[in-house]
Amino acid sequence: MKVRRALLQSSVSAQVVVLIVAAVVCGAVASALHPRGIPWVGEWARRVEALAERDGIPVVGLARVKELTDRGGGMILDARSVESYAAGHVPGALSLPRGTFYETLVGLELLLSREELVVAYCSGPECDDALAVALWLREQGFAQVALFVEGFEAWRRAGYPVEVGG
Amino acid sequence: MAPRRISGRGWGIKVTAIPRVQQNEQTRGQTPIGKCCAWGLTPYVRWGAGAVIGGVFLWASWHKLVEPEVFATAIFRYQLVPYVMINALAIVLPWLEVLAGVCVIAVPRYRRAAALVLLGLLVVYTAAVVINLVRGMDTDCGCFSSAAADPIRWRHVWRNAGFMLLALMAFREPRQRPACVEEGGR
Repeated sequence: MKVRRALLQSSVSAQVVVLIVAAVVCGAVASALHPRGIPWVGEWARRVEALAERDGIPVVGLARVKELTDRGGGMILDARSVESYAAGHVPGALSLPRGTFYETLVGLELLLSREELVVAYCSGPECDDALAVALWLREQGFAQVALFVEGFEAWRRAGYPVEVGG
Repeated sequence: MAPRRISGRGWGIKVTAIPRVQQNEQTRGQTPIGKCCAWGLTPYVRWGAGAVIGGVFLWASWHKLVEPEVFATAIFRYQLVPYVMINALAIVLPWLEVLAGVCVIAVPRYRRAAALVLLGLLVVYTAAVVINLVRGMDTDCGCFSSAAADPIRWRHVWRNAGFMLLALMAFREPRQRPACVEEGGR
């Protein structure tokens, strides 16, 4: 009864604390019982790479992308927004923002062959736009789709040339 | 007798004083409950505002409870929270929404605290949306439905401002203001 009275008559700030504690307790119980429950700490830093691994999209590094821009042998796709692309992108990369897939498919088919290596990137290791583009391309029948997971951030940091404009 | 307009304290919003009422020794100096209160809001209006905002949060919490991973991904995509905290927030926040939503509707003693929690959640969520709008990130809102793509826009901010007003109405102290008593109840 004492507890009950304390819960009912406490000040607003104390009640807020009660609500938060109750939410933590409920969350812990529900999370343990939920069939698709998640752990309290997730692996978010390597999330995109892990997803690519799971979905069978090979990950390529900075050196491989540099080689592609220097010697050819594959196409590079920029999955960031059109504005980010215009502000600076990997030389020779094509802009294919996430969400404009179907509008650009016809153009892509003219530019790429389905057997050619296609590497997609976005801003950095935390964005999943490039992964979405890579998965979609594979669905469309492109045989060699890879992900440059470190993204434009790493490219710029390495001091490699940047192409500006669209 | 027509209600007189007087200035109350609440952010310059006019409080309408009630007409003169009959009072005896016991009720002198008090204002009849439900007639003259903060912002001229009757308890029914305050409860109604709380019920609306509580309902909105109960509705919003549902998909977050059912699909914690989707909600965690939505938090992740905002790129504002340290990675170690993302899952913990995805586990606790939906329950905070549920508990506060239920309390603001059905537990009168916890109504103010629950409204305060909802107000706090709205402030945090809206700040996250504004920051990412300013940063130009095309994040998915993750507000209500997990399935439908709902990229953040300024309309989300205006909508949340409306929700905040409702939460604030529910939070208002039911105690009568002296101004009301002096002007209207004497």
